[in-house]
Amino acid sequence: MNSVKFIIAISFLTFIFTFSVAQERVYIKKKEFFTTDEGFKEAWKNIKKGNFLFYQHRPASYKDAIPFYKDAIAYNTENAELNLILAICYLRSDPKAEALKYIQKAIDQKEDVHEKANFFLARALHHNLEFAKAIVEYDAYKETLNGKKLKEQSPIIDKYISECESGKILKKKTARIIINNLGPQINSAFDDYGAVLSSDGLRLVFTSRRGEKGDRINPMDDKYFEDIYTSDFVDSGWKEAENIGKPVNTDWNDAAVDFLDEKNMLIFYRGRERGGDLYTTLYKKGKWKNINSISNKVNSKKSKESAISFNADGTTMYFVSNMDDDSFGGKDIYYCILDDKGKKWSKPINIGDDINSEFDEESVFISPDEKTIYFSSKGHNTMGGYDIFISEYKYDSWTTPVNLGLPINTADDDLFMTILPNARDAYFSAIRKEGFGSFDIYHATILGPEKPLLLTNEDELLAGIATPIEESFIEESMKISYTRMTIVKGSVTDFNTGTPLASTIELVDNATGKLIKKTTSNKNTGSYLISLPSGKDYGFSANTDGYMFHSENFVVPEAQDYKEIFKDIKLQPITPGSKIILHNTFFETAKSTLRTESFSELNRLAKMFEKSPNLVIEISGHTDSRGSRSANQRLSVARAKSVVDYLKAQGVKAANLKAVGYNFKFPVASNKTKEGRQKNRRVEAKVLSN
Amino acid sequence: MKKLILFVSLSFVFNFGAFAQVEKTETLVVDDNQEAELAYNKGITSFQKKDYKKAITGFTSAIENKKSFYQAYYNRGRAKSEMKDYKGALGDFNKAIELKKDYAKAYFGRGIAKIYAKDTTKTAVLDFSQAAVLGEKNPKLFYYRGIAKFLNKNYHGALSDFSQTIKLDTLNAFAYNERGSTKRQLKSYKAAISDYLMALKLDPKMLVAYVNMGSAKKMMKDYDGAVADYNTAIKLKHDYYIAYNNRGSVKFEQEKYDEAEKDFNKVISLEPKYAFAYNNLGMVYMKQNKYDKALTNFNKAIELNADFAKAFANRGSTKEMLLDFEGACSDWKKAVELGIENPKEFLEGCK
Repeated sequence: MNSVKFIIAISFLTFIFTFSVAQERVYIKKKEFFTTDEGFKEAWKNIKKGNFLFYQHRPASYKDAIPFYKDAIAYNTENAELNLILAICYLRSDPKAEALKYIQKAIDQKEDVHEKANFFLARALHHNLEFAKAIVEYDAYKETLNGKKLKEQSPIIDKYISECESGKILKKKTARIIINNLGPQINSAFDDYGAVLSSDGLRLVFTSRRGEKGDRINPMDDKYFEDIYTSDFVDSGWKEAENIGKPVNTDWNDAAVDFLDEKNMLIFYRGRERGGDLYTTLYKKGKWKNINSISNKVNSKKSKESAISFNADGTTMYFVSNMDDDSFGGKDIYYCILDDKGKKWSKPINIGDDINSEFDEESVFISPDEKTIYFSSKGHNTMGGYDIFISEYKYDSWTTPVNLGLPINTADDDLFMTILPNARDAYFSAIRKEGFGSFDIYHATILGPEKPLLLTNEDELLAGIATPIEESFIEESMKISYTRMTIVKGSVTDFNTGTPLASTIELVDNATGKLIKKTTSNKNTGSYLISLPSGKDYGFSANTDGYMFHSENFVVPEAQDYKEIFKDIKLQPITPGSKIILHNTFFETAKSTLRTESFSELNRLAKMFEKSPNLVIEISGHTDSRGSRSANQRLSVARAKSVVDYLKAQGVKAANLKAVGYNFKFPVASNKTKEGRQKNRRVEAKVLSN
Repeated sequence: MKKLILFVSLSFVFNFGAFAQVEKTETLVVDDNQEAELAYNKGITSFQKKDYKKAITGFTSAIENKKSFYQAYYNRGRAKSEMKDYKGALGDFNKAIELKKDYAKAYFGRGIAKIYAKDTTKTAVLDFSQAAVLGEKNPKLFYYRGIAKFLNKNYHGALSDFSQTIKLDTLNAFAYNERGSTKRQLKSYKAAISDYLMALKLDPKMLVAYVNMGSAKKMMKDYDGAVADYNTAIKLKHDYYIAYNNRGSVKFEQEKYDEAEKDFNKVISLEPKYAFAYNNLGMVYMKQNKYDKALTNFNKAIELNADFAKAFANRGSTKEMLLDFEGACSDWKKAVELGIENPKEFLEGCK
């Protein structure tokens, strides 16, 4: 659907002039103005030129006077009257907010510079949104009035004060709206206003009072007559605005009012006849043609119809008129409804006093669904001049209009709000300090209510999570079973001399035949110490070069407590007659077959021959006394032979060995006991020569 | 079979040849086939010395020698827990329970590990309850179950467990802090503060209790009180970034944006990867209308945490101010996708 709106040229002027009734006189005294010769002549000339314009007391002449006074003030910035007159010029043209610094200077220089000084200061403060301060000055000015003057001026001053009161409240919150001037492609130093846009926002039609070659000046306000301009938004920028030309634009006021892009229809205002009426024109093949009066219902003969806005299907139009019928005061907003056949418009109906105040309303924009209306008004809670208001249609009536507030509205006139269907992009017209001069068209990005921001912080709520607690609990340890060791200790000495000997001591587990411990006795003391797990059968041997080795076989009983076994060993030197019992040589019972446990000892014996090649040894078998002698003789010989055979197999020469059997001829213990008999069953090795 | 004989130091005595006094104990020798138990006991000794790495070596060796050694699994799980290898610990507790179905301690230990291992908190409560059923008597069971319930947002349950803990151990500062935080979650801020005060009475250096108390005050909109507590925490620990971040947030609420900015910058200097601080700093810049700087900070926050919903929401609002409406909408959409509600209404103006 369409975007919106329009303007009538004349409407602007009317209010600008409203309060310029008073035609002040301000005398700048040459003497006071003079500071130095240099530049004085020129400056004074400028004052004269300024004065010439100022005293015409026309809006345009005030504005035209400004450059001359500003040149003059460059010569002398301190002259109270010059500052005052410059302030008045700004207050009566634009931008009004500029007046403040001059009026303040004027009063600083000369408190009684003018009887209306407080009033001018109040106005300047008002336009700078310094509402509280402005009220103080309005009140101060009012104090100076009495009688007829008071009666005359009170209503307007009270209106200003009430605007300031509204402003004070409105100033407290600023809507999230970003405002941008449309830029020099659109705006000029002259009035530019009344933007209407295609629904996609890419085509802009507006009204400007800029002058072009041959343009005429409207004698009513000394400004060029209105003409309609257009521009397209291309590549993120507006193209240079173009005058849409004849036949729409004439030498008189022609102003854009609404743009129905679906129909390629422009509705525009023509001010020359019948007090100002509304017309339509269609865009065909690059040209605006088919100009028609919009409707006789709307266009009354005498009154001026300006802004208009259509609902979505074009069946209702809202417009502004100064027609007298049903007016609530000044210009009001009316609407007409198209009949069911789509041909006849109803009579204008006043929208009602919810919207229309006793003051002027101007410009109207109806949302396509007719639920929201934007309009400008000098009434309600305006903070000065026209402010833009919004009202919503709820429960069969319009809600109390809400002033859009800052930053859109200012103390000056704010008009022609148009909102695109996206509800975010809006266009309006206003006089703002940052503009290119007079009215400019502004774009407003409406961001809606502030988006709440989301802080992020955390607490370490649980101490046990922030710092995991060191916990000591674990499963208990296991019981370990131990075996008690038995200590075997003693010394190794020479059998004959008792000299301590270093001897290799070996312990073999007889059950497995494995060597479990090997150590050496101390060569100085002959002492040794060995620990053994209790409850086992051990083969023990001590071996020193040049000596017959010693071997024995013993059982270490299971011990609960600490136990020591002492074993002193005397080794016999290898000399004829020396003999040892081969304690660890075992045979199968009643046989001569060697058991494997015997090998380690016999190997040891065989080694003795390596070192002493001339050694001759007699290996003798002995038995206990049980059984016949002859049987024992056989067994003892056989066992001695078994040993000799084994030794031979280990490389000992036969000549070095002699096997003999002595049956039980040489017992070493009693044959009456088991232990004794066991001792008697043995093999001996005796050195025969070496 | 390998023979393991431990001569304690006898052979040395012998080799030196001096007949030193032989101690009776030195003649004890470990029997065969106890490698597992020995390694296990060694592990326990190391655990008690807090040398958890060595303890794990011991328990591992025990397990290698005896596959069914459930106590070794349990202990190794405990040691891994102490080393904060909670996933590893979970595996060990699982194995211990597999080997011994009614192993109460293992359920307890597993419950604790589940609390600290990520994503497993949910079933921790079940483990503690199972441990209790099986007769676990460790008084800390209530404490940890309270934590598990808290983490599962069962605050009423947590409250009763922490109260039970305090009943059994009236000097447990941690339990007071945890109960305070539980009350805070239940929005009983005043009661929370009195628990925090009790925790601090028992342990005046308990940083988290100061910060938590400050945050409870913040929620009661006692901003000055909150700042005072954060200040104390910062005094105790100059680099306690969480306290700075919280203090900055309070300053933000107080609209003291310059001070908030300082605090958030401090957080970043202490903890350059703390996404929250960038988000908050971005908000400060938003309030100062420094939209470009805000954008940079929200970008950074999102770079550090790609699922940072609030930062997306805030960045969207920044892009809106920079009139990048498409960007704003896509950020808000992302924030909603990531699970926060707020930006839903912002999306109304989006295509």
